[in-house]
Amino acid sequence: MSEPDSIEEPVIGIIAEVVGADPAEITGDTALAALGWDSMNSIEALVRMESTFAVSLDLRSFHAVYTVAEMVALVEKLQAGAPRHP
Amino acid sequence: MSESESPLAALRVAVRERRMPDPRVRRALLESDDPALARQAGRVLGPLTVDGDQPRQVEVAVLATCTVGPYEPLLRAQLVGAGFLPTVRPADYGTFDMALATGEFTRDGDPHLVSVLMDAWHFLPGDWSAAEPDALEKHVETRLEEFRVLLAGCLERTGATVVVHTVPLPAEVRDGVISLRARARVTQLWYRVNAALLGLAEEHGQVVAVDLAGELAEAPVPARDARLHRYGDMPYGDGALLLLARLVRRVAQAQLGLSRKVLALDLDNTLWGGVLGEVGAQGVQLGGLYPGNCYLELQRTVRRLREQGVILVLASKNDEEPVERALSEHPAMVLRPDTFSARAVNWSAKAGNLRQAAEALSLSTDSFVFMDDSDFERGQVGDELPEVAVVSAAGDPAYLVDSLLRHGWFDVMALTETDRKRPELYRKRALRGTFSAGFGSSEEFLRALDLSVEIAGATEYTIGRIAQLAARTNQFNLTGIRYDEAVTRRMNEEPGHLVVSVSVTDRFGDEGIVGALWVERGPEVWRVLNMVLSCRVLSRGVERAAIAWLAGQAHEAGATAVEGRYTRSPKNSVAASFWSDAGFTRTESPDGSETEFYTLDSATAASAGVDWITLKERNGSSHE
Repeated sequence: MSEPDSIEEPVIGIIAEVVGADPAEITGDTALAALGWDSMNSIEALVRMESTFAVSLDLRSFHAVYTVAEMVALVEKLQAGAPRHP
Repeated sequence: MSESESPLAALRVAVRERRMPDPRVRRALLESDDPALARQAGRVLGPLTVDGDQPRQVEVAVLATCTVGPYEPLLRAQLVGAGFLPTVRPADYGTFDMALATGEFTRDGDPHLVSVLMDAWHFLPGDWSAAEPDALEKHVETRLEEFRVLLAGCLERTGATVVVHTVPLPAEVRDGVISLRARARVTQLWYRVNAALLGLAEEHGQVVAVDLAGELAEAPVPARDARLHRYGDMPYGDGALLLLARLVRRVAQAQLGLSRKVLALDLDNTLWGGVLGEVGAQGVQLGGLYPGNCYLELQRTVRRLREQGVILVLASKNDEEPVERALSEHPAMVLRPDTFSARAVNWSAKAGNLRQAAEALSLSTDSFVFMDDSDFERGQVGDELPEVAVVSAAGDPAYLVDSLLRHGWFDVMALTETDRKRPELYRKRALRGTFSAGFGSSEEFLRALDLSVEIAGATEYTIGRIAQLAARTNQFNLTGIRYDEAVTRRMNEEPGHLVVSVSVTDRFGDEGIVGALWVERGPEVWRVLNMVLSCRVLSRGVERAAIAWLAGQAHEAGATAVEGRYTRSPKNSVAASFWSDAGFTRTESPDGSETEFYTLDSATAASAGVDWITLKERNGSSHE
């Protein structure tokens, strides 16, 4: 299938859209907090990532994520394993 | 068509260019079931303003017992999709009871609609004991009663229409009760809550109740996401909120006069299966087993729409004679030839046919819905007449009924007697067009019509129809002020005001109530705050007869003058010269006012009228 790191771009796309930022200015090292990541837009990102990548995120690990790269890693880990929720 | 282009990009361009998104993009917004798209669209549309001609504006306040979440952008996207320029204002979190108690939803006056977003925990106790079912029941009933009382009080302080919805019972409550008998009792309690919420619409004319719980049962979206509920007090998922936004958008369409009036239908593979020209009348699929039963059910659905006042137009590429025969002779046919108010059965382009049908019916194509299975025909009509709502009959015929009904194009607030008679009225109207061809002058024709106009004060029986005319009339609407039912009723009860209905009869039949006037009765001057007249009786002198009657009444009451007003809108140019034609003189408008003012000496009342109309008066007025 696709490269394991191929989801970075769509993840950045979703994050950029929900916080209203330019995707070109976001890299793996960008801290989510620096983008104005709050309870409302993070939940929107959660819902969209779940439907885009067909995964189910645990809110605790989702909120523990600090950078964009960590978010990508979290989603990839879930994609690799079986979905946690039916 | 560049369907591949993202609707979001098109929306951004519209916002930048300060114009409404074009009809194709708006249709895509309405038809999309993707809450993520709707949410982004709603956010992009937040700063939308429009230069030049203004679309219908709608202001909606959102009042929630929980976090409003994405409901605001979802609702905005739906409203823009329907052609509105919306303002959506959510009340602050946690102010639900306060806002209801004060009736103050927005800082600057009443909104058109108040959308109430409720979750089950507004009625349920935070904790409850399965050992005491009575206590649970008591708590829920008390909370329900509190809501009813608050709402009733609130309605006395606002003229806005309040939209409430049914609420699904959370499975964690239902399944927390393990005795099947007791569980049925809890569920029953919940159905009572929802029945009471729906009943609010019967108790209060200003309340509309929509069935969110029912929609959720048929839609493939979960009512809630447990994580979002626990984490963010968001009791509904995005998909559920999109369903509610759609229901509220339909209320806005009905309330503000964007309901469609005409359904234009294709025949082959829409109203029956197969192509008549190839298989003959005996060969078409209609009734019996699948797929014939799908077409039969669609015909029944269409007939029910007609019974509720929707005007039917036939738009088919066929030879006329076999169609006539199939419609009259096929034993399973529900829609017979005379159920259609106009028929365009020929080989010309359908857009042109629809335009001609609109002319024959004296209706605008923006009140049309067009249903066809052919991508080509829908594309042609959509391109040439973007204002027409297009419904696809392509694909599996099992979905025909759902495709026609799901967007609520024809939803109205309430049905009046006039509505039910409308299809027949319009059929006669089309006949009237043929009748007029035989006269040398229009006045000669009007005399032959035996027109009779009846003027009556508004009554409880007619206020609904009067408010409906105010909401729907765009062409002959002198000042554009759309007095709704509540305001009209209030005015009618005050001695300083007068509200009258205008009905018309002619040799072809009774048109029913076709116009209304809202008048302020000053001691010296009577001011016509607005006058509306249905476009189907325009250019017959009815408006002149009504104003002559009013001037006569003013004169009898001792007032010396009648003042008329005209405020130009994109659609009411047909009424621009009304006051001058009726003998009124233009006076100066106050500085900055876009309204034109006119005056007439009430002693010269009779000169405003026309002599081919017989005037009848009925003392139904509440002032007598």
